[in-house]
Amino acid sequence: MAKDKLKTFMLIFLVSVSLFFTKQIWFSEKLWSSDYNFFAKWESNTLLRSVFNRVGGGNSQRLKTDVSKERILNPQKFVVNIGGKKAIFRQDDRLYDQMNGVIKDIYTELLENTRQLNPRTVDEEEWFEVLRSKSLYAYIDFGIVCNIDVLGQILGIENTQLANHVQNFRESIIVPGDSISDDIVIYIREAKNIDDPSDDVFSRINFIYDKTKFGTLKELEDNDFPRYTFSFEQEFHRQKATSQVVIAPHVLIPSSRQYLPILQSYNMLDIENDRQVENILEAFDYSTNTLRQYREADGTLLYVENSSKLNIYPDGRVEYKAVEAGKGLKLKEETGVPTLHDSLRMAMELMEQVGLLNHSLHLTSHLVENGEEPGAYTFNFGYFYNGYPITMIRNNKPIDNPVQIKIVNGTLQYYYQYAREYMGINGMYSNVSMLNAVDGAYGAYEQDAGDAGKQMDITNITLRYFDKGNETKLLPKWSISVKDVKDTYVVPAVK
Amino acid sequence: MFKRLSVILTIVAAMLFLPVVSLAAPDKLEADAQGTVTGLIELSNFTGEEITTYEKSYILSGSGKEKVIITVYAYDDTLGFRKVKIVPEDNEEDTAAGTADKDTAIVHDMYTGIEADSNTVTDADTNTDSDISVQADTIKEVITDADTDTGQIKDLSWQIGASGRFSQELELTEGKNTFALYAEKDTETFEIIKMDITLLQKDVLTKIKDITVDIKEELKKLVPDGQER
Repeated sequence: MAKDKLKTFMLIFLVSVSLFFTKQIWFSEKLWSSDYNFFAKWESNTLLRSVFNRVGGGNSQRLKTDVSKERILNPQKFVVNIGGKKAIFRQDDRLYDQMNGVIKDIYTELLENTRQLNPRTVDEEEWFEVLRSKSLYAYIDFGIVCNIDVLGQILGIENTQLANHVQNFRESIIVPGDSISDDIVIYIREAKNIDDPSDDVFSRINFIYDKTKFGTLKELEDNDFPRYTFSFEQEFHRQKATSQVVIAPHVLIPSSRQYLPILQSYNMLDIENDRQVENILEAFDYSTNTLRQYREADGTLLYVENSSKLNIYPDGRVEYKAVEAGKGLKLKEETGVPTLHDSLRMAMELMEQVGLLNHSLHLTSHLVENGEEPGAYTFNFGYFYNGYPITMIRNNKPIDNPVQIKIVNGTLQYYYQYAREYMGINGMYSNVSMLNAVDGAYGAYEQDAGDAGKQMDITNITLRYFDKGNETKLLPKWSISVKDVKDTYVVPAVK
Repeated sequence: MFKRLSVILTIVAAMLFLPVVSLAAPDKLEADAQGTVTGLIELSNFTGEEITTYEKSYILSGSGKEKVIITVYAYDDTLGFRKVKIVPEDNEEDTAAGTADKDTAIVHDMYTGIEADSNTVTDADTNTDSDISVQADTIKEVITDADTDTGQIKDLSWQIGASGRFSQELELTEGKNTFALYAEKDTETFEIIKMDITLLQKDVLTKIKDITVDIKEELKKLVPDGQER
């Protein structure tokens, strides 16, 4: 009797084990060659997957990011005039979202407006005067040039009347106006030549707007935010007999020490994380099973299909290349040539699907039509932390575009992403002022030029972080760009 | 021999210490003090007229010859012109653990070699590489002196650097503030610029806004509802 029970038990055990191993063999892609897989082929079938998922049997939860795509397109900073001094609000600052809401509302109304707009051309002096003295305005800096039609489409507006007057805008100022009329005033700096701001044209538009909506911004007046002044307000943009340095008028100069974050950077991509790799493969419509895949000695994963190649590197890079023009992943389903906005939307959705999107990414390429190659668009993205740009350095070379996507007529031609994430670990006050940094840079500039007393025209000064990939802490540095000089002078802002 | 040696030592000591003493601005200035030269420095937005502001601080900026030392004096009715004092703030790194982790030494790096980076797309039809990324700049890292004095009261004084530009914030008290800027190249060569800055009360500003609002309300009453202005 006991013997029979034991036999029954053994039988049940063996059958269970064989079922388990059969399931492993049939459905675990790791045990199959990539050449032929009957069950793998069926498992990766889209229709069957959707059915399978509905009955709850699938492990098909896509890795989702909780980062809003729209954040990528937000202005890099707002500059608010509070009683003559300026305060900067960046993406992670308190009140940024509030301001962004108000400004988005203003622009939506302006672009939706069907009444006659009468922009008036003004000169650069008026632009500077408004920047200097009007009480409580917002100077909006996207950091890029943006086509007005595209801006409208981003806000959900087609065919804006404003496009009849302004094509590509670089910067904007909103002035609440006087307290008698219901007008606010919007100044737009239009880029006639994307690469040369000296050709820009300035326009002023009077626009009726409900000023009670500005109410939430009034608390700015009572708060003690760090203050800045524009270079032109201190006349640093003018040549002086006692100085060899000229600083571009729009450069913001801090009036006091700034409290700056210290960062740490992380590789977002774990090449040993199968789910993450699968996510990437699915985003590019690669089957995880019926494909040619190779693994190099350094751990790099190489995938090849008829129309494209996909490389996933252990250091966080993902690179997709269509093997020929016109081949590659089809991102659109409709016929017709996709617009710039359509292509941008496709690029951002693809980034979201790849699963390596994070709040540090921001668009850095201009959103303007490509006159030379219609339908072909290249979108570049860079990393920022609270509005401060981050430059990646690898093999001693700066990487200008850590994320780059090229789409031609709705087909993906190229995708490159260096997946990094940046977090603030603590903070510190700067003890090297901007002008200290300029002094240091000028000394180096004189040496390089071999000409003591040579004038240095500074085109931009920003606080920036440099990620070399091998440091535990990233400290902020002043980054100084000089006209007609390829070098960027970098000076530590904390010591 | 001893006498000769002591004379030589005295001369050497004088040569060493006199330049240091000579560049120290005087502790006080007479109300009518004048400089020996002009043009050592040039102040921005300053015509010599009185300045009025509603802001509690004023940005003093301008340009000047390198190595000129500027010291700021504030005028007091009883004491005359006295040096303005400041207390530099602490600059310890703020960490969650509470202890500052000192920065490592700054490394003077130089990144060279501008090459086309790896972000290229090959056009198979024409067999050319189209570089679709912006070519990277080189970066030069520069070391400067930092202001590392913390916690000690010191004069509001600075030396103009190589760029020739300077910018300092002056704290104001309500009413008229009179400052003197003592710009010194050496004991023989110094310039004194006096400036009056009046800090107006914000009440004045509020009163102006109130009047504006009241006028607006009155104007509204003149226009019947529904009519366009």
